[in-house]
Amino acid sequence: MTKKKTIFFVIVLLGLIAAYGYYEYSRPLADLSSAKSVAQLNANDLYKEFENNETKANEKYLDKVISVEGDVLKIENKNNKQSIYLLTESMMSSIICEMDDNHKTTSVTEGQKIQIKGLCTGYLMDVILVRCVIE
Amino acid sequence: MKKGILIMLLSFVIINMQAQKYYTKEGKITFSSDAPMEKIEAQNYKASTIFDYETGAIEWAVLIKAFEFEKALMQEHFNENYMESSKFPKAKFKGKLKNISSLDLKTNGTYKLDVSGELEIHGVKNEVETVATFVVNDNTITGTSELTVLVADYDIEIPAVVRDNIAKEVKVTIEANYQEFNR
Repeated sequence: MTKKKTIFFVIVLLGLIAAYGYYEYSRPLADLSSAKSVAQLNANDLYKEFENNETKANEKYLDKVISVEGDVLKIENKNNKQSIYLLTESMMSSIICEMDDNHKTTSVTEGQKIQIKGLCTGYLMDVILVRCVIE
Repeated sequence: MKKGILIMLLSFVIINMQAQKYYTKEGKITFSSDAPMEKIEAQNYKASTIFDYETGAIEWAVLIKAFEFEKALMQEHFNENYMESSKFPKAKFKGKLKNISSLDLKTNGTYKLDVSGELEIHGVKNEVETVATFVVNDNTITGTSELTVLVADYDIEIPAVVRDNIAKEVKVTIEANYQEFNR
């Protein structure tokens, strides 16, 4: 009886481990709408921090969820992705917010002031945020 | 008469100043690793690229953390274990399109150009060579290319446990719809 019980227990345990493993393996990317942002700032300040000292800005913001407020420069729909460009003082650089596929927007227009939350991936010519949601 | 020549010269200079560079900030880079146990694919739609129509110089830059995988775990391993993207946030290519004069941006068609340059991934630079295909269709210029990257060339170690899950050679494809660069 006890031997049977032990075997049963082991099987259940193995099943649970396998289920957890599979759950971990197939876990999708997290939706950021309920994520907490570590910083809240305006588009121009974010751009300036990267422009002045990229290494330092990377340490602060890379791979972190941040909230950015700014004026919409343009909205691009390309490759099935929607991107919202936020204006900065530079002619060349924007904050590019690639929207989460489940949170694309139709209500935002150029020139509008919005606040957007996303994962900061770094700085090329622009500061790039991905998996964004509008707040 | 003199005035006419001056105007001609001036307009020539102005035409020459414009439309020499083409760029996009929404270049697409995908890669796939086809290993016996697992096929892994990732996309990035936020690559920046620019080329100079006069000199043939071409550059690509991409943020590693903006690559998107189907599974979160793959993306985490890619960033943390293999690419160390907090230490090396970007990959870059700086090169030259050979025979740029054969690319006629005013005539619709498909143009194949040899391209060579320096590819930097994971902080390691290597010389690479490939072929770039440009398709000119009315006012659109689309550039595509393919490249096979050997993981070991870029000091990326794959632990023995996942040897059958991650390919030693990764196929990278790039695509960009270039637009005129007006400063």
